[in-house]
Amino acid sequence: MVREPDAFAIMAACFAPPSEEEWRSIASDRAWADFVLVLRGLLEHGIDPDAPRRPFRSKPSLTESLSLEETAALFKPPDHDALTRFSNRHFVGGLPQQSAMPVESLYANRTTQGLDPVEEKGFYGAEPAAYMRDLAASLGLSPAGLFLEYPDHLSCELEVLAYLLEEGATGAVRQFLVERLAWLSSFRQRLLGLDDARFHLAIVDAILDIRSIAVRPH
Amino acid sequence: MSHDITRRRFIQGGTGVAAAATLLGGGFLGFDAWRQAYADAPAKEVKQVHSLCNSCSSKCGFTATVEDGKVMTMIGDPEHPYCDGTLCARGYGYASIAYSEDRLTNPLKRTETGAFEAISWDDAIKEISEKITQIIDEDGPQALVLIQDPRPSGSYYTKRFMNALGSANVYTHGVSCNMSKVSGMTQAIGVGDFVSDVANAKMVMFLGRSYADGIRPGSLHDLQAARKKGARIVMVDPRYNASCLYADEWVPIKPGTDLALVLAMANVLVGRGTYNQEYVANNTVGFEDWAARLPEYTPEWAAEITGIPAETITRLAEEMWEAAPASSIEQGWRAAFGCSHKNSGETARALCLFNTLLGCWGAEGGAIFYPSASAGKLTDPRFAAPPAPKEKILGSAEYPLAAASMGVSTFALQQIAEGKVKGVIFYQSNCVGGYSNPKQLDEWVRQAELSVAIDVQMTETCKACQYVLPDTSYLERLEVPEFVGGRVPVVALRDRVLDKIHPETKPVDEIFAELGRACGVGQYFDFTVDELADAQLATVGLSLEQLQEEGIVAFPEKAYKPGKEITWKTPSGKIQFTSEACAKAGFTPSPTWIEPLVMPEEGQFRLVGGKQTIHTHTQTANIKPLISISKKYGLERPWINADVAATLGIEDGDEVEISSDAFTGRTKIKVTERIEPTSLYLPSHYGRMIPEQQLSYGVGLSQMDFVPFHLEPGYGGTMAQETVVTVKKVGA
Amino acid sequence: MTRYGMLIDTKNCIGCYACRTACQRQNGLDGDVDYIRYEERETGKFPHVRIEAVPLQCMHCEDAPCVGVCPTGASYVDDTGRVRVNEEKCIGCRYCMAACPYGVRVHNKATGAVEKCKFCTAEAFEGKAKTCSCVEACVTGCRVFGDLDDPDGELARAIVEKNALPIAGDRTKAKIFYVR
Repeated sequence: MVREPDAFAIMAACFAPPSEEEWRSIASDRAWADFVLVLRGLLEHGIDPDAPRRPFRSKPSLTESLSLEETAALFKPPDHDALTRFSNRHFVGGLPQQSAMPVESLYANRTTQGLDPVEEKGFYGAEPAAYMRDLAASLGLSPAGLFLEYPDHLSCELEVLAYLLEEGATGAVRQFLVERLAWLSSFRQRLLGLDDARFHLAIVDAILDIRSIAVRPH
Repeated sequence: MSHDITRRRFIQGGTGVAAAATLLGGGFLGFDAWRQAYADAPAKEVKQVHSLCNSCSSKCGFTATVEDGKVMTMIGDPEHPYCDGTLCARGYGYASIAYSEDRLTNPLKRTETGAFEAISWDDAIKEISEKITQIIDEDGPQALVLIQDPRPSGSYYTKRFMNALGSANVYTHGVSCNMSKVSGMTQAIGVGDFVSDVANAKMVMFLGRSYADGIRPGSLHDLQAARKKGARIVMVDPRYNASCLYADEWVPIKPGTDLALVLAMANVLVGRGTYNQEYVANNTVGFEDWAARLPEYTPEWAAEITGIPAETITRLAEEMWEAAPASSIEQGWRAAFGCSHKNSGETARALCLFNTLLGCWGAEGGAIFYPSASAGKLTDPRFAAPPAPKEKILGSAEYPLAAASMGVSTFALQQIAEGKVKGVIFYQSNCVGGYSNPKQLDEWVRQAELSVAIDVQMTETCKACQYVLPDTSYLERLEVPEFVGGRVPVVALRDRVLDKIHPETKPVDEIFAELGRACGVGQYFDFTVDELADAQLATVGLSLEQLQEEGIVAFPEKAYKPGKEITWKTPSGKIQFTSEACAKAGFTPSPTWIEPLVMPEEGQFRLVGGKQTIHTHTQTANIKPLISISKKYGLERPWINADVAATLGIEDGDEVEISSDAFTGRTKIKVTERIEPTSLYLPSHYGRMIPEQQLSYGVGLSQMDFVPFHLEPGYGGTMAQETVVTVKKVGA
Repeated sequence: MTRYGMLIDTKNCIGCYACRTACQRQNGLDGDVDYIRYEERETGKFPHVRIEAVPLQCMHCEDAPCVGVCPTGASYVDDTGRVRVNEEKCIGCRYCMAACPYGVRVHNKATGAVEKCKFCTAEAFEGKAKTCSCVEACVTGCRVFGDLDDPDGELARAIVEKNALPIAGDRTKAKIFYVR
């Protein structure tokens, strides 16, 4: 059964492909359907368990957050090969027409106010990276793998979010969501420039929508 | 059915928020609270590391203060001869490459669609080494070629790798830098370079070189010292360059005609007998040959060609003789005769011979040779060099005068089209973008069976290759110790300033060691770069640890001693006015006038390049602190003479169209009094037309796009300034 | 009483921009946030030309217009005569940028504050640290920093010997003196 923290762990996996076996179990028809269901719920009521829940509508609420194409892509997750190839093409650095490294530091100075994207060149290892490292330490977590290399990678941020959700730290979850994932609105601009990123755009847009609920006052 | 998807891969442990042991007394820490807590907190790790800049080939030594993985301060080392205590603008700015968004992070392979995709190091090494082995099996090791801009580790490891495979084809960027100068000088004085003793000179004539543009701070300090002492400094240059601040006289010259100036000045001195006859008699061979050819090269003749008044030419020759032996024509680098014209090699040769007339070799204030230092022989068998390849570097037969240590890299690429070269590797080199016509070089590289580029960022060269391997930035590497000649020779070290930033990058020494092992020559790479460095330093009584601590160690016992006897490493053991090798290659035995390949006619301009203090070739075009300066101050704009602009109806800042046979481009122009009328100056750093270099894409134009593919007869240079263009206002 | 000032000898300035990038390195600034800007002048007619490069930065004026217009008191003068900006108080209204006659204040996106030269080289001058400030980094050594109130100090003597003057008269009582 997919619970809400798992949903974030699954989304983390979309941006840092796991093993073939692991992805198969995530993307199997049954498991993925569970995930989409949970995602729909998150889009309805956000991450706050105490927020009033509205009953499901008869229409899927996904299309209120996602475009038709994104919704379609979300229902059909890529297989492991396609996911890995996408990652090898776009989650690598040095190819700005192709590169879309999901690392927060790169987007630290950017805004989406129509400023020249060429001017807003980013740097790795900015404040978000230092913050994530210190946050992991203060929470008593042991970073491994990707977290050691890029602590402000989207996958790492989503895993921390999953952890906080699991611990029931609602206030922390909301604050983390609001503070740490704002950059996704700049990142999605980057994804829009690619010609094969509908699936990942769907995930990013879903997260942004969940975040927007957290940003709204009760 | 349960799906174990709760397993997280990047964070483990966690004792629960409520019970979490905290460093900050609160468990979860919001961003603002974190910022407040850490804004004034002292850095956790502060260290000082000595290293070498990589903005240009000077590799100035500096000391970095690093706080928590960030370079806070950089201070030039006073003992490093090239920076003499102060770095240049590039030094501080180029360091931003370390965390730059444009860093290559993974090995890449080009797919059928033309897009690059990340592959694993194992796959990259396997595929590349298999291809190399296949090429060697089918066509022999000489079908492999490696091209680089030399750096300490690069020079060592690339040569070792190629020689181990049996290939002699290790090329530098010399074709578009200073190879013609080095080669021409070697024919006259047996070595490819000397140093004008500027700080002590009574007079120095610079042909095209500008210490304040192609900046090397130590040299600039010498120029300042010279001015303080009242030295006479003459800048012969199509442009009033930045060094003219320290010059008495700017002599505008038509580019490509410096040889005529030198011949005419020689004509004056030899014609009158006002030259160091004793020195010439005792230290040279072949003088009579040159003396017999000089009479036609009168100042009047030269005035026609150079645009310099005959009286000025005569006067300059007289002044140089007056100040001799504390006078010289400065050695240049790329500028006027490093590679730019059909007569570059011969200009370098003639320059040395003119200095010989002054008798200034080894004289205080004249033309001197700095002592050098080097590591001794290493006895440990692991470090033994591979056997020397049987054949010579490709191109040495066709371009016999080209210095073998540099080679004609563009000729080697041309051989791909001829089917003689099958594989090419590039290291620290934007060959395709910078060494000659980019379109042509790109075409040839793409025809190779194997093409590999090793770099830190995407370039035109990387784009043309099948494989791109990511080097670490220079700040993350320890390199082979660098011995630097100078007034006081030193040994310096590029040390690891930062820990590796991107996990899938590898320093150059590891890349070649792994390739070597995969290609079956691993026995030559049975050591780490640390071990190699330590062994080399042991031969001069030092250790790696010591040099890491001190950064630079000088060899005062090897310091320059004026008056030391000079050994000329020429065939005759003396300075050669005549050269058999030159004669064999189709030149006159002693240098005579050679017209440039092209001459601008009425309404045309010669396109000339040049350097700016904030850039190095194409390497820095995408570095934000540096390209921001260009953008703010319009430094990418070409220059045109004000009077000429007026006749063409062009005003400062107008958009113009510049055309050569090879290319047409548009940009805004700078109208100035600082340039002679037949030249159009285009600073050499711009016009990066690959979208991957985002910051610089579409900024300015690239000189090389306009330049047709050339190889200088005999010497192999790129002849970058043998390009004629027209200019017109857009909308005119 | 310490009164910090600077001398810039443009006769020795080659316009190499080392001070700009060194300053950015020393102060942790992004590549397009420049505390130092430049004006270049070309005079004469070919081939008798002259050029002058003039670096401009906060003059740490004694009569600083920027301090006067600051609505929050973020801009102030400290006890060494340096004009400072308290980033926490700065609301980024940019009044000071309009008020500065030298155009040497910049809005820093990263901090949201309006910033300028801090005379950070005072740290090195006071022997507290080595810096790559504009003064330390200048390749030709054309800058001198020091205490204007020390008549025997290098700065005061240099100003007198070279007849250095503020760039635009005495209007704001600027404390950077130029040799031109």
